[in-house]
Amino acid sequence: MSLYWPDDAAAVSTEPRLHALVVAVGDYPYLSGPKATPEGKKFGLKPLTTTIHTGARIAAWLTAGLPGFARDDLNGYRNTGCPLGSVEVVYSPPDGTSVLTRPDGTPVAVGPATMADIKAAVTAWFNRCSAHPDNIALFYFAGHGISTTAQFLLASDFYAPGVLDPWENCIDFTGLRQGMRKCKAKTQLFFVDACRERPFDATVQVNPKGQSLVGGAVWSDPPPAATGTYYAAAEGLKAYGPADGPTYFATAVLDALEGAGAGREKGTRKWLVDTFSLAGALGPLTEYLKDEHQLSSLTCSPHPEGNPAPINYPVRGYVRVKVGCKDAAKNSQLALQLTRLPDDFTSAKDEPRPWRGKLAPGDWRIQMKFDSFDPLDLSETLIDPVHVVLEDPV
Amino acid sequence: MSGRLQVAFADGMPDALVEVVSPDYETVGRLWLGPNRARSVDVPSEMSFLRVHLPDGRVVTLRDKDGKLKRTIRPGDLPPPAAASATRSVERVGDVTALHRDRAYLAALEPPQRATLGGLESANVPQPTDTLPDGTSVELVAATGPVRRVPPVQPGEVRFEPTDGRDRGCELRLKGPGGRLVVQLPGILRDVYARADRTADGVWLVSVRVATGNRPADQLLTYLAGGDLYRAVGMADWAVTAEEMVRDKHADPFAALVGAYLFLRTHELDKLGDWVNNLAVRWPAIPDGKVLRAWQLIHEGNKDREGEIRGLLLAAAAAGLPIFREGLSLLRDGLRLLGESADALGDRAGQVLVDAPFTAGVHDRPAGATTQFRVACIGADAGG
Repeated sequence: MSLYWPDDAAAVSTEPRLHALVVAVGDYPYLSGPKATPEGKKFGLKPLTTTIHTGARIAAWLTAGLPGFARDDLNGYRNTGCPLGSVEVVYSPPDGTSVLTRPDGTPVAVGPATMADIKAAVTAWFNRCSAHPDNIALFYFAGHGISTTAQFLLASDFYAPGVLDPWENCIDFTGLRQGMRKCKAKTQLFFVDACRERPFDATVQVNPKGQSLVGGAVWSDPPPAATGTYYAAAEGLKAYGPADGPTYFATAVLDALEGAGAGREKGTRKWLVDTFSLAGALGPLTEYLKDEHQLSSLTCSPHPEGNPAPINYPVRGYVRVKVGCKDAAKNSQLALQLTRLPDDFTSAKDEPRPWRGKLAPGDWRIQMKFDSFDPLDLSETLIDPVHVVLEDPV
Repeated sequence: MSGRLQVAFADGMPDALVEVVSPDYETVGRLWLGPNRARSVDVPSEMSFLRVHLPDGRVVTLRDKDGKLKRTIRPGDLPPPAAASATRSVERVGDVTALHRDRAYLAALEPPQRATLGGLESANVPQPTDTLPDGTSVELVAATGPVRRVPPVQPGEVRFEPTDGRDRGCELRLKGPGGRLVVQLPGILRDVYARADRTADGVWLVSVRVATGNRPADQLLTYLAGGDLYRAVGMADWAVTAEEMVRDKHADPFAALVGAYLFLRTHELDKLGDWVNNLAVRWPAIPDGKVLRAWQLIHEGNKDREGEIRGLLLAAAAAGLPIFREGLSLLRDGLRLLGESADALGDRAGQVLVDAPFTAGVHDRPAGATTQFRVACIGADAGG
């Protein structure tokens, strides 16, 4: 049983809803550690903790907009046209526990991210998604992956001893996505947050294969009206995510969904993140994180398709902003004032530089003052997900 | 007050995407404009303003304090490249200096002309080294053979002279400590080079940068590869024009392919029309045309045409790797949807760089190698 929310599967609505499946794999006992098999060890893949934080964070975000589930740090999923319907989570942390604490403080036991549990969760998720064409299907995988011309995602029991085909416990994601042509949900979102710890390793240059989990789609099945497939492409553990927090890709995804990827919806003027705007925001937000954490190999590959379809209506849109000087010596003298009435921020010269923060979209006056240089007074229009101002005084 | 805003580019303006933004920051329209062209869009307020995405990567915000509904943008309205008031593109966050410099350099390059290619006078001039600072050798092979190298703009680059092959693509081959990287490229290239930079954590980053013969195609390709479909859709008018140009005997099939990928991605089958079939038939050595035609038929869902679709996909796979990464994914997906094996395709492609706009694959990666590869199209603004 992997239902994170609601408590009872019988309570899942058949009206238009978002149904999510989150797969978070941290424990790979047959690839490293005392249970590792000789063949499994050749992959050189280590257990992950960032994926576990990611699974918990994504599940928390999905539910944070529900009554009683509010959090200080997340506004959560909000879409009155397609509210949250269910969240299915399979979760394998390196310490073996599979209990998550929901935003309302209640613990929930979910299944491990073994292939058998993933299969069961996919079946439940698929059936819910397919119950109504106006549903949104959301799939999020965080764990190890292998990318060739196709994408393969490793379950926790990948290369388990006693399994005749060692690739049995591997998800053929490309096949899964194709199989989802059978699903009636017209909006389908896939997040592949897969670590490539040792990219292109010679030991895995055999043809990977796996289970698509949803089969039987034929070429003449019509494609979903709107799909978004969003891939992380970090190489190496350091670029993938901090050990004590979610992956950088998940951070960028949630930042976009919470408002950095929002634009005004035509007609309603509401802030809206849709399949296109999410994709457009992920690249700049990834660049922002890459710069902030000095990660040369962090990239992403968003792939929206079809029509733009609404995902989330955040409380407000915002812009990630970086302000400073190119010259470190000038940065050390920099006192900042950022104004867009009624908002007015100041940052004294001894604070970290460059200044980073979230600002409301709009026209901002940026005043830069220095001890031994003339001040700069800039006008900047903030609209895109990320805005960078690097100016040196003369 | 609402109305219809006309935006015109005066003579001397570059091709550029213009976003029309309402005073409360709703993007109400995206227009692809060039010199002496005008387009209109409905706006909720005459105080709507413009954001011009310039080829050098800058995004310039232009307002009209009088709220005129007819606006003409002239080169003098744009601040010079170093002006402080230009909005910075996010692409300048990472790899700031190199990307900015490259765009400024490329903005001045003209599309390749047959007369300037492979001139006899250059044949006897010794070529610069083919090796990057990390020991990676670089070779560009066109249909006519290896392409001559030209002096680097910056030390440590391996750069090639322009190419003008319209019947098939080129292949860029790199071989070094990170393994072999093979990149499929259009046959018409304004500039292509590789460079190696050591990152702060001591890892070599080997970058391939490409400007094709068509700036708008580069812009659209960059939007598509980056998933920025709103801005890509803003170039739909250009894409239709690129398709129509296929009828011309000096057509650029590569630019037309990029336009076709846009319409396939947005499921606008009506805009694909017959010319996709023309691409498939007239340029048989470019697999992308067949892949696009097959997917046009797949989306149409006519079960009587399964044999034709299968034939197109198998012929595309036999013709080689698609030039564009999107084509590789579509070929793989198409083969699998029809129950055909894509294993051979996978073997040929190697470990695919998922964030590259062109088909780029790593082969023979040594165990423990740390070199990272990047492939980018930088012939136009990457958007921000």
